[in-house]
Amino acid sequence: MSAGAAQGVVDAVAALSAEVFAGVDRLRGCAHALFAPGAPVARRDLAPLEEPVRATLGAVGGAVVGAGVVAAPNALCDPAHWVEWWTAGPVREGHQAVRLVVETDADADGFRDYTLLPWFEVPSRTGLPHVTGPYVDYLCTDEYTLTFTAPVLTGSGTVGVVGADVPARHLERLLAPALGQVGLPAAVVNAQGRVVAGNRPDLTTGTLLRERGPVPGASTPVAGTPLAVVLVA
Amino acid sequence: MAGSPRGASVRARDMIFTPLDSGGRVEAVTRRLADAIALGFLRDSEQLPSEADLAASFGVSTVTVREALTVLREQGLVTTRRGRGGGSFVTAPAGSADASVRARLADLAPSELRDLADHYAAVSGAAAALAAERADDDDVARIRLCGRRFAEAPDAGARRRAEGHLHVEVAAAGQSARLTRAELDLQAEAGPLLWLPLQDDDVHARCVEQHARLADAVARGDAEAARAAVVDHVRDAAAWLGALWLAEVGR
Repeated sequence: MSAGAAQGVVDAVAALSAEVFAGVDRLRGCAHALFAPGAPVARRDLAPLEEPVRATLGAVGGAVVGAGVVAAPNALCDPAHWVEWWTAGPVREGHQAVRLVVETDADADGFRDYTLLPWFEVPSRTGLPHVTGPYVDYLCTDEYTLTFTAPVLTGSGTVGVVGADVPARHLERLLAPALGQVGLPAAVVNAQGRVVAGNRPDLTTGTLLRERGPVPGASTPVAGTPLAVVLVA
Repeated sequence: MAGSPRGASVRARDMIFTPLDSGGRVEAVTRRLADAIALGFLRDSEQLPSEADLAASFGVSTVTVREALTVLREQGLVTTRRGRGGGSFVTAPAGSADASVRARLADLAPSELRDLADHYAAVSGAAAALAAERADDDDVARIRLCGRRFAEAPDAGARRRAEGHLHVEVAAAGQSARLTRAELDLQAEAGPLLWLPLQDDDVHARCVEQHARLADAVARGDAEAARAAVVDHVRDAAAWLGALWLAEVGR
């Protein structure tokens, strides 16, 4: 019975992930169309991306609160670094999408090098989509977040990544029903063994399962993501 | 701009033109603008808002703004041009920021400096303890990378950036959005002062060692050692600033 219930969690995570990545993939197609011709792309040439980015916001019942495009260093012919990210605005303003302002001048004191961060680095290196987190997104929103990103690949390599943000608290709520069906302690974890969502107080999002491992053989990966569902000892 | 979310890295910039606390108005306006210039949020040759706009933003009179601009001109941080195309412009060639930070240091009493250091140590120390409990291997690798960038930083500006970045990475590794925001807020408020000692090569060398201790403690999950490494680090900076205060004010 618990094997079946754990599968229910796997399915829930897979469905959620597929829905978020569907939006990310549409963005990827738009971004690719801008870079593919091979001519130099300037920051202002990214303007046509605004509309598809805004369209991605609010997906999955409002769980997607941020989306955008981040250029690889020197992929654009003007600034070396560029972040084109939009977030859904506050409720009182009707969730109007707002553009995020981030320091992109490498010499400025407030500059943070995003090429180090997993949501950029992993898809750039592997050529595959990735789910990062849960983590504190200090570059953009200061929120505890999961970020779904995919690389934009052209003949000259990775020109950037596209992605979507889902706050950890939204994911916890969305997965709670499925997790609640599993009789044993269970959690959705990332590749580092960090809990994305769990069904016990000591399996709160962010907990690192170090000494307490999953029950041997009771870990089921969620295909297409770095996530897995584990029954915890 | 108001109400729009912004990357933590530019939050400090948006705090520049907001109302000041009461009391000592001219010094407060001067300090606010001088800090913004020192931190690089107001750039060389950038034009400041008009005196009327500054007065409205800060919640002070135009007379106060004019006096503050006079002080900033004397400090060499601002030039004012009259007539069409006129206004006040930032002049911040490399090195001048230091003078304004030192001037700000002289404005603080040692007890205020101690209080600032206590606050910063409390936030950063707690974040380091959480990082020791919750960091995964990637987090530790990023913290060590920040430490290397700090060790190899070619100038004072690069040292400041690397230092700030390292502490933010530590806070994020602790999985606490609140402590990360608190760290960023304190950096925006007190960064120029706290990082002034980093230009000293002996201080820099000690910081390199403290960063290594911090990274090692986080890697082996030793929360109290991680906290202690940060507290030592902050106390060291505060002691250096305190000695500088005595030297400058005693002149």
